[in-house]
Amino acid sequence: MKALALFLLMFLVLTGAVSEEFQSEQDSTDSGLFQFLVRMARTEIRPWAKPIENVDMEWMLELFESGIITFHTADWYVEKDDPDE
Amino acid sequence: MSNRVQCVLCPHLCTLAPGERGRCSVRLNVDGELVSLVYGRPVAVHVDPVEKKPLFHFLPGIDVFSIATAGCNLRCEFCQNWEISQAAPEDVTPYDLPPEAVVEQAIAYNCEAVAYTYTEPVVYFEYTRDTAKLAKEAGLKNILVTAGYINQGPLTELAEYIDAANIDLKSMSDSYYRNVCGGTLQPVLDTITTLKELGTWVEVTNLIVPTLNDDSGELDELARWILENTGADTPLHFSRFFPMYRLIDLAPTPVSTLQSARERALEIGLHHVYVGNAVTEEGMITTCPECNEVLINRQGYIITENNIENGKCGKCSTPVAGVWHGMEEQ
Ligand code: SF4
Repeated sequence: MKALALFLLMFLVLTGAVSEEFQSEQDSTDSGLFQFLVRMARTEIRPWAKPIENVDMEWMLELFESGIITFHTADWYVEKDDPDE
Repeated sequence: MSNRVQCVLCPHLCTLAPGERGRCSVRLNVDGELVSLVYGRPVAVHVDPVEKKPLFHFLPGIDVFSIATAGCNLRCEFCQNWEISQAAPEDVTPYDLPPEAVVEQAIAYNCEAVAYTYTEPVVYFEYTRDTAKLAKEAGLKNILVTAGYINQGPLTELAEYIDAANIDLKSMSDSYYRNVCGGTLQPVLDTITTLKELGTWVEVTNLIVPTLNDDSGELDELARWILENTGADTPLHFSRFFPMYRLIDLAPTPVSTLQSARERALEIGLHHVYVGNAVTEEGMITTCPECNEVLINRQGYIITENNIENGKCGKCSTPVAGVWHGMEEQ
């Protein structure tokens, strides 16, 4: 599914339907299809980098309670508005 | 509210939905709050000589309390510490060592500095910064050993506490950074120049990997970039590759490649060029750029001779770039 989304997104980029700022959802068009594709492809925007991972939060909580990991508030992040909102 | 967050610590700028963690694997979105999974949880804790970082012009001979957590924002195929750098925090058993304990232990082990090293201190930013702040208050020095893949804001915040840094400049090719390391070149160059401008003592390491980044033209370009951007006195360490992680089929770097890269970098105009991870006679010696007198001789990480007096050549009194016992940085 993600590969299909990427393919379609690339098609849009190649046909000029999307600005080169497509990484920033705020700059994107209003197209619902576009938003869907961006969301689907979001983790693949840097295909050469390590992937963003979805984790099992229940397991994370267990690890936190056992002291293996911490939930120490990080600095240097910003809240991101949902592109649909 | 989507509760999505964007981490702006490093150039990856990961946008994370709740339950997602960044490319470094140690920063997680928990219900709209970004948390560090590794604060006070190092997986490697050692006392090393400062020469091992490597730093050859920073308080030679001192012992350094060295820590690392799991995680890295790059994925270098040759990583020499991949068991911990490419691991998720839950994959490696950590110590419970909050910043205060690091400083206490460093003092207990007679270390003069704390090093944030082995993996990537950028990704355990809050732990690095808080520990460095306490260490500085306790009169210890702080050393950053990093690939330099960090944004300028956090770098500037961290630099306030960092006395010396060894930055791994892996190549002058952006495609090498992307394809072999999972990063990009420019932010690393920016880190080197920014730290230099902010007054941190900077040394640069380049790991020469056969067939991937051993082109003599590219190695010369790297030496030239250092000369033009941080000056002739910036020490450069050419380091030998050994088969590791995803590059186990490559042979180790021939010593002759390291030696000729060193000789050419000296010809280009750098004053201090070293060879690491290999036994070479000249590659471990610091000489006076003015009179060529041997200033520091090393056998492995042991100093066998030191002719620097108050930061100057013991023979001709030319100041030697670096941070030396008994004097301020040149
Ligand atoms: S530090 Fe980690 S979470 Fe933050 S942008 Fe870099 S890889 Fe992503």
